Amino acid sequence: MLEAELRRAIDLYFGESAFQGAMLHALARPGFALHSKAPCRAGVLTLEIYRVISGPPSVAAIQAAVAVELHMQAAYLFDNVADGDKSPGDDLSPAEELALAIGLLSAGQSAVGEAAFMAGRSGSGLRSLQQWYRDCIGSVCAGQFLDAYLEKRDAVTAEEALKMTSLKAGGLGRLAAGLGAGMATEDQEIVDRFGEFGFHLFTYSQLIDDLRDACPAPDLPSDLTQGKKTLPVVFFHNSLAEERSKVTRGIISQETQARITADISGVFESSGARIFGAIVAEAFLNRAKNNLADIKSRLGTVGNLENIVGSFEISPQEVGLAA
Amino acid sequence: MEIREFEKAFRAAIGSDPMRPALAAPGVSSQVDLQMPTEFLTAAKTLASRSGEQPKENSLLRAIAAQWW
Repeated sequence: MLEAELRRAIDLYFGESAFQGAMLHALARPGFALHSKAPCRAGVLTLEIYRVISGPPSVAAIQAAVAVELHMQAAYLFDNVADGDKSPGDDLSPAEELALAIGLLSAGQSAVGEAAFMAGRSGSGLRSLQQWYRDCIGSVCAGQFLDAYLEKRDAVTAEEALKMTSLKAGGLGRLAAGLGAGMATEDQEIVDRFGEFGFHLFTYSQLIDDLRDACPAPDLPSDLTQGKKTLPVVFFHNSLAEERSKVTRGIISQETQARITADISGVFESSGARIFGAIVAEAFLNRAKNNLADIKSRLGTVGNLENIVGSFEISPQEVGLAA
Repeated sequence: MEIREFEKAFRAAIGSDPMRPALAAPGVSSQVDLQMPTEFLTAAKTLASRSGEQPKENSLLRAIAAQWW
């Protein structure tokens, strides 16, 4: 259902044929919403949260889910540009991807406004929703910027890496979950509680992705070799910096340097970076579960949300944490 | 606990040499409320074993995890 609604939105918002064609092409790539295997998890979360509070999704809830997916796709496109990722046979330039991302973000903002109108929001209810949305989108954009900004820096702290992740991914989660609630109720406390739940769940999910991508296999490109500033990679690099600081004039021993060069994935695994990242990720998952338990005690039900959380969970093996 | 405090405590727990994490801290109380999933602790032990250490007890790691939560 969401894919059809998203196609309808693209047809509506992107009337110019070349722009629309490029948009459909871009979003049909692996990892994007119009790809055959796309789960559209953010939009599904929006709809399920609406269902928990208010029953079968209204047109406003569906519009809100479309808005969430438009924001998600904009973020993915920006990531493509920031990371320099290119799929085989992909002929979109970074400038084109950026133009598409701006288009998606603008369309997402329009869709949120339309969803609020469809939900009958007006007066102080509309103002609260607008302020809440402004804060969400401000967080996501700040996270995107911080991601690019940290890439330029040699020294990054774990705190900065986690802040970037939670602003960016957590902000999108807050938007997906809170907007579903915001379409169903004007009770800002309920909206905020669902927002917190989404924030923790999506931050967990991104931290897990970062563990997967940190050092997948010796012959594959990894965040480690590309010098990305994700939490496990930052922890690892700071471990090396700590090692350097212990020796004379900050120069690492030739023996240690040779080991790092020859077996960077082995050194990464023995640094504790993966366990560190897993513990922090688990903390966010547990917080999301606690948020859900709190919501359940208030509303009496959380519908299918526990199963949705379960679909986000991964085993230690999936992030390389077991033999 | 803030992430920077957690990182500091975690680094202390895995040992002073980041290349050879011990993940063990004899003498530290293990009577803490463990909220960290057992499977992750098992994985941590496995990883520590792989790096050449023989962890006896993950109590400090557990304590850190409990504080973090």
